[in-house]
Amino acid sequence: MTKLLDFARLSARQLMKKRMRVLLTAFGIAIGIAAVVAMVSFGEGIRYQAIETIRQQSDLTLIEVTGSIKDGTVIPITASKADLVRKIPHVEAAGPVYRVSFSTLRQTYIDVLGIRAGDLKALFRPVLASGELFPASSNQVLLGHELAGKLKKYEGIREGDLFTVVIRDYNEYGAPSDRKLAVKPGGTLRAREDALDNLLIMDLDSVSALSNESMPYNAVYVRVDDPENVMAVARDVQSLGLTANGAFRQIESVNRFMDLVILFLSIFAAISLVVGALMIVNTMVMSVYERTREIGVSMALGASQGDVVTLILAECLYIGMIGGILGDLLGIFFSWVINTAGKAYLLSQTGNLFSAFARYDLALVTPGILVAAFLVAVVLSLVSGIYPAFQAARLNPVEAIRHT
Amino acid sequence: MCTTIEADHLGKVYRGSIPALGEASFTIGKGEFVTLIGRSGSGKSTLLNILGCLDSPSSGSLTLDGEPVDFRDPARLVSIRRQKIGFIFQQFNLLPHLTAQENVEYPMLFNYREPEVRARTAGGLLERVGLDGRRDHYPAELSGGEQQRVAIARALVSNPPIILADEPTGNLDQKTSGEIFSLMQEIGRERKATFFIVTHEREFGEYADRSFRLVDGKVTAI
Ligand SMILES: Nc1ncnc2c1ncn2[C@@H]1O[C@H](COP(=O)(O)OP(=O)(O)OP(=O)(O)O)[C@@H](O)[C@H]1O
Ligand SMILES: [Mg+2]
Repeated sequence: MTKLLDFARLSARQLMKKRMRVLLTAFGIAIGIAAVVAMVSFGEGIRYQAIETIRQQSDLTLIEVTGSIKDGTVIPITASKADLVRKIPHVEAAGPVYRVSFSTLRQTYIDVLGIRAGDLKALFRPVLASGELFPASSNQVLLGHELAGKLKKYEGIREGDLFTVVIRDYNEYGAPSDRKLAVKPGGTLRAREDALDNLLIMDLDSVSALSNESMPYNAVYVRVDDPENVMAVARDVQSLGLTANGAFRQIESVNRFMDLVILFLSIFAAISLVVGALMIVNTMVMSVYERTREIGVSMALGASQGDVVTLILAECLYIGMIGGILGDLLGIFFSWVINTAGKAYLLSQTGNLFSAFARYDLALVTPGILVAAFLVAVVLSLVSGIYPAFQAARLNPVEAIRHT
Repeated sequence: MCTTIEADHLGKVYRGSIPALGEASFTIGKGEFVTLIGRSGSGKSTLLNILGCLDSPSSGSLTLDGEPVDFRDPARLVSIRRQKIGFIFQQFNLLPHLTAQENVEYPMLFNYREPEVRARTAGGLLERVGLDGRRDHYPAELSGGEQQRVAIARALVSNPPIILADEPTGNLDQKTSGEIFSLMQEIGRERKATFFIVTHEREFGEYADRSFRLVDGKVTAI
């Protein structure tokens, strides 16, 4: 171990003799590293913004659990399955629902959520703008904020007005048959900026009584305690053989897409890394050639082939470390340029389209990126040193000593 | 007297050329100070490199310090070089980026010794060769004779029983050459180390316990 440290010190002395050359070579690697750092940070910045946007616009902790089809057989949501779902860790509330749709006599389409009033409270913490929730087993309904506005504007229906809706069923031959039902809005929700705004909400049992399906409900809504745990809950749901859907799926696909984008960006940036690596190979091959006699003498004085390889690789290690640090610094600088000049340009070109971006940095440099880039620089330098190192070790000492 | 070097019909033929070394046979005892002279191209360096386990012979066998040398075992050759051999070159061959002190310590990086041991050993040897005050000087700041003294100290650093020198005074003037020879002679006696010195100049034969001549690939005593 101390031997390695002494070798490291010796290699450092060797490099100090050729400071300029070492610095230039390290710079070659550094530019590649900086390009990768900037590109990955840029990608991460975009990912962050996209995900933040989704977070703000959607209800991340809500999961809709539905049945699934496995090997051609349908796994439905049953009461016992719903209980299992409720027992999953990090599930704050869960309630069965029945989703159907109505239309008014004037063909206004209405999405309907059948749910128990208690579950509605636990899952959505509804705030009423007027009226009340709905009683069990009745035809009184609750209107989402936008739906209430729509019904009033196009149909003239207000709270307390009984109105007729049409439920369209299809028989086994696909022929439609309509049933009529009178419902009465008894309350209106405050605007919430989510899906409830456009829903007509009524008691679960009343809705499932309307249906001619055998199951009492067709989904379970699940509220997860924290956005961080949504994926874990979704996995547990899937292991019950059920399907989990929700806004988190969008984040998943953003992540998949951004992984791909970042991969492509870094592949292009990595091309300059290859150039940097070739510079190291070149520098070290030259250095070995210049030191041919010195290497021969070292062998005469007791250096083994392994010692020679170690000495050369130690020099590459230094070049890699210098290159890695320079590259990180340069990468931070590039990201800063993207965040100032780049962002100003983007905003001026796209106007309001990307105004959401104005709040965040375009490129997000994380410690993880910097550490990874540094390691890439070090490993790349060591790999670049393998050929020159073995070339040095293979020298014939007698000929090497005679070399001028 | 026990023998340190025993060469038995050592020969070397380079690929497709005439023999560089014929059948060199001789024995050298512990602590002997031996010179080898011969015409240019007679194979002196070739022989020395074989004795130093830097090169392998095409024929014959070699025993160093009681150990028959197996030239097919590179790892063993390395440790023989580390423990049994000290090299002195015509071109001095000090490492230019290291100080005198560091140059003397250098072989102890391979034949590993702790830094304190290295510093102490190298310091003592530099003092012995009369360069105590020049420890921190780089080779470029030293005269040829001084550089060769550093190289002598370096050759002694692992306390090897055999020191091989290929025309150590070939780049030095007459007076300095004499000083170097008498230094090597004194050190050989102090340490009971065998010196095997290739030289062009016959007159240094006077320092030697024995002198050999290499003619037509054969070693003969003078
Ligand atoms: N690598 C080699 N390939 C082919 N021939 C070689 C090689 N090295 C040496 N020789 C030949 O071997 C012979 C002996 O060379 P060597 O260097 O041992 O001579 P020398 O006695 O040391 O000469 P000098 O006094 O000039 O140093 C020479 O004829 C030389 O040309
Ligand atoms: Mg020679």
